[in-house]
Amino acid sequence: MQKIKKVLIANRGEIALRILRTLKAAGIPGVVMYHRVDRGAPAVREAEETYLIEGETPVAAYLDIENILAACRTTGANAVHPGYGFLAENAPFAKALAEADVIFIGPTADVIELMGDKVSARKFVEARGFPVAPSAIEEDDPATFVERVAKVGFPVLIKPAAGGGGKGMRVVYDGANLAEEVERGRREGERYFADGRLFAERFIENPRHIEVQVFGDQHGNYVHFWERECSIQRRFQKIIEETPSPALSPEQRQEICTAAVGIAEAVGYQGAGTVEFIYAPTGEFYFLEMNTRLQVEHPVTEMVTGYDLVYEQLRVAAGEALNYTQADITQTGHSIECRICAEDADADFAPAIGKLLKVREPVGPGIRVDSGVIEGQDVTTAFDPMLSKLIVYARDRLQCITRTQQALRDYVLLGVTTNTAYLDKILSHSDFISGDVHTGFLAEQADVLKQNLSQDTLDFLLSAAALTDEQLCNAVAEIPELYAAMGHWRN
Amino acid sequence: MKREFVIGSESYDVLLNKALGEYHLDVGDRQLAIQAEEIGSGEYFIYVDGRKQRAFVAVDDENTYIHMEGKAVTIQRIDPFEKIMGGDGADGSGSSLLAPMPGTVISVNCEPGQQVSEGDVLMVIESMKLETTVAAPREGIVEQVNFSAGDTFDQKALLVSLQAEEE
Repeated sequence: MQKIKKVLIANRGEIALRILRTLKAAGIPGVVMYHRVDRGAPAVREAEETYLIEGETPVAAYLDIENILAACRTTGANAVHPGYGFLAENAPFAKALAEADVIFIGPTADVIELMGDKVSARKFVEARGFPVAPSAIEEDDPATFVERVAKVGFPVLIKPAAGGGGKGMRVVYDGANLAEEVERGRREGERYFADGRLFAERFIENPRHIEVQVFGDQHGNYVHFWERECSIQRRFQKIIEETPSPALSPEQRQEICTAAVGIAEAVGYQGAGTVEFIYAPTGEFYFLEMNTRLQVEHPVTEMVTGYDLVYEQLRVAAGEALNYTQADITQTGHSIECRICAEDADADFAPAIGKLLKVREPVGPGIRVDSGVIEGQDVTTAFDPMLSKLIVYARDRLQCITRTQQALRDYVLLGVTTNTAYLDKILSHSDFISGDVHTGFLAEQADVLKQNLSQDTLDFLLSAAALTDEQLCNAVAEIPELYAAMGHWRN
Repeated sequence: MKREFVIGSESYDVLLNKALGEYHLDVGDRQLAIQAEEIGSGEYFIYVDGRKQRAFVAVDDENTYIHMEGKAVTIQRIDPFEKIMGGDGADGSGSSLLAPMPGTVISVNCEPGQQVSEGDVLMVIESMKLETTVAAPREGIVEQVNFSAGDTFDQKALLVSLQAEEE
């Protein structure tokens, strides 16, 4: 790994810390860049070297390519790990780094450009014989787009061509408001991705989201690290991921993983990537998109294969060949990841803010917490609501589910509303346990997944609240016994 | 002394007494014998009628956060005395459209004094990266518009209000 001298981590939160940990273990110096709102974050505390960045907003600071180039120059970092989100799939960024002679830990700018755009990626994949769902592409002929969307068939999913992460996506169930919905999708695309081009495809009812982790090196070697099932989504965003998928037979698993490696090979993919598929209840699967970066949910793959994917990314970026073959990568046991988010699941997932007054992470066999927050930290709406990830490993799926539930119950996060109890509810649902889920599962089961408090729990809660209320206890203590016995004193 | 504890949309009036060194909590028509034992920083054993639960508790100016039985619950504390003094000014007959969550105003589609019909789009807001329309819940006249396009707002912020309906 001699080519990589020092790595700048161009990200924040849990992923910055997760990357830093691998760098430290590998003996490679790492630099954590941060905006001042993140100065108390764990990655900033644990880094040996940090670099302060500025911007009009905190998010803008992390999106500023000039900031990152300046950080490399100042710190002498000769490689950049982009994490996920921010600039991770930005081709001009990869290009700018290459021009500055800095290694981008990810695929080449050409591949990001090709696969990062849903439209071109899909055309490319379809042309090479891989399965794709019926669709309409706006830029083929913008004037007839609305008509062509109607021809794809309802329900239809409309999304920004340049998008990702569920942003700006909408499902339209009939033709009545189609033109209006198309216009709205275009505005959202412009706002989030500075690109209003749209893409529409048949919305498959009750589909699963299954993706495959792929890897390529600079020497023409391609492998997969098996699949991840990511069907548990709220507002099109994943919150529970697992591997292996409970839906696939060994033959189907082989088929979908082989297709994914085929796509990686067709584009000459370098580094870690993920090929996402829509998996229909009938067993067919269609290419959805390729994410040309490390995924949020990569740890479940690490748990069942034993590979450190960030370490493997570094090796590939340094020009080394994969030193393992497909046959070496085995899937052992089961792993589940839960995304712990600052949000109120009972109030339509409204983002929650506040100060984390108490944090106590779960521990125990097979439990890993990748966290971006510590006690005392303020949670704002400046960034994504994800605070941390709970990743659990066990020998089989059922044991993994119960272990994850216990870990969620042991996870103390006070001061900010989080979704731990909601995640626990999902894991207790009989359909989740039997593996019978789809991407609309959470919306469909919303009523069942609401929290309720028993009378007994309520008594304990009110008692705890009363007895830890200093003002209340002091006021009560001041009352002479005689008056107390009479009751109804004045405040 | 009395307290009002609010959990989600439910409100609970409780009365804490201390007699002969023992705390009692009146909840509705029931009286519970309660006790707390601090076993660590912010960590307690809570006893209710002789039964025990372990709890983690954190407190700020407004709320008490309790992690118990594997989940966290936020309890808002209201001093009944302060509530009377403060007054919340709600008139009940107008319509106040409050922000369901923090977000940004994309466009304002109405102005004060304007006559609107039920379902008219008054404002387009964006929360959690999704556009939502704020529509008139009934026919009426716009009273207040508190934000302009591009402004950000907090949860429960008053976005638009309609004049009180005439009888």
